[in-house]
Amino acid sequence: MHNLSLSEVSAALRAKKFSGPELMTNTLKRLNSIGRNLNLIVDMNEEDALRQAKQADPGKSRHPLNGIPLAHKDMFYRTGRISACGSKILKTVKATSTATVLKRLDRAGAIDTARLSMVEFALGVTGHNDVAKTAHNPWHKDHIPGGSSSGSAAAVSARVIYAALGSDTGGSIRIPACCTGVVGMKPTWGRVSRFAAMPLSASLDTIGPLTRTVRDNALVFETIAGADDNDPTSSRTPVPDCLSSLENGVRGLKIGVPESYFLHGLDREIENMIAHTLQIYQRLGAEIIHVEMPPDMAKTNALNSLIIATEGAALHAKWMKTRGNDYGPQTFARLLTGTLTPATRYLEALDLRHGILAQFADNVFSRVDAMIAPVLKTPTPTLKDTDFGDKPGFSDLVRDLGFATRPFNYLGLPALSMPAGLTENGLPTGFQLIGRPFNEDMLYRMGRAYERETGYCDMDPG
Amino acid sequence: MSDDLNQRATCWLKDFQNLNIGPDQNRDPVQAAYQGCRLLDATDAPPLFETAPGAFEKCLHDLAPKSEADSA
Repeated sequence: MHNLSLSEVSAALRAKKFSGPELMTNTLKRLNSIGRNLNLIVDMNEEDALRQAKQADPGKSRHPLNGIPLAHKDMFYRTGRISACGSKILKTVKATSTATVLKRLDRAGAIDTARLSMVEFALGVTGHNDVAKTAHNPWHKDHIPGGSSSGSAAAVSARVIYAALGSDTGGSIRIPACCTGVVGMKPTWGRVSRFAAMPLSASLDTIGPLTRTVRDNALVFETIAGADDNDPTSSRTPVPDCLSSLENGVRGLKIGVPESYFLHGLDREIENMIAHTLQIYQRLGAEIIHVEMPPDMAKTNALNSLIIATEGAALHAKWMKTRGNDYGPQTFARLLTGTLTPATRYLEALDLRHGILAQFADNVFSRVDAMIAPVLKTPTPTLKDTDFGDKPGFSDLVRDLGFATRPFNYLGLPALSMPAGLTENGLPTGFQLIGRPFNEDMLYRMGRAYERETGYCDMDPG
Repeated sequence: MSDDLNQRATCWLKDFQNLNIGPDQNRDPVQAAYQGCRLLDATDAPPLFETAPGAFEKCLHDLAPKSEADSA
């Protein structure tokens, strides 16, 4: 049962191969055993989840998510429930509203089963959490699960849950997806409502799904995406039908390879993975075209970090003064950078985006349907090697880990992280596909073609 | 690092006195802020004065697929 994908278990439930309570009991058992062993669980909703599983009638609702157990990064508020957001500070605070994304999943009949570990206040790309639990990578406990949606990615990878929501402000869906071998979508900025989800950086925050397969991801994405009156930054652009074009293949499509920045300084194994991926796409009928990057592309990583630090610092300023010792050292240090950045410079950093985006579109989207890039420069590193906390030089190391992900947060573009096999250290690796704004359906179509050819989405940490 | 930024950083850091932030504090946050500002100085962009309100959001929406042909 746990080896089935979300779509498969949904079909099996509808076909009455097992009952909703059986499915939920099995899921809860795995969350309680494997999930806790990997430090993935902040809290569980067992009684209510079982009650909902008993009440859910697969025959009544045609929605594929009806009766399916899900769990999410502990930053999506639900009225009356605590969302600790990976912190000490919010450990006892109950929410007064429910996130739109949770409401949409509830309406579809999905069952919210547990709150999953994350990096403190979503500020970190390795998964380390100095004030709460650090989630483990189910492939190897010594290696990072990636962050900040560490628990979400690890839970899906470990087959203890069928899908999980995460957030991505600088790579926090894509990096853990890459490190744990799952599919992660960072949508276009404004595609998914952020109402009643913990904020980090309003100009950059996005919410998206982590799943085992592309179909599963597209299904959850379609369920949560779309305009929301409670979030005026959410776009009224219609949500495309991602599922109907999923199996269309890539014949005749064009995939861009960046001429600069993204493919420089990569570890040999990552270089080889990208080259192999391009060969696969060529074999499937796609045309590979080299595309130039805007001259300021290399700056977008640092500019993204500057915006996160500044907007994050504004949110946390009062707590930094009154409860500074309750932050982990790296979280505090990163926020401190924001307090030291003049507001005028922050506004400049925001303002540069439209020019760089226009140049990127001119160079890339006028010529190709999507662009490929790595997610990390190296194979998935160890927890020990990346445990730099707030040691001198940590900023540069943190910046280096997000070198390929942050630019697309800065530009607001959608990016799909795809598993691409294992590196020599036995850990998953992956690449990302970057698309036009609001063109997530194209990314899903391309991802599905790769998945069908390689079967990497079936990789199991065991 | 310029004297001006160093002084400004010291004033800001003193603002957090209750956390005993002083000369031995890790200078990374200051350095990171400084590097961010220098990066902006090195960028040849028109002044904010010339940017229309919502320029970024408009650019994003203008780039969305317009027709079925552009979609997947």
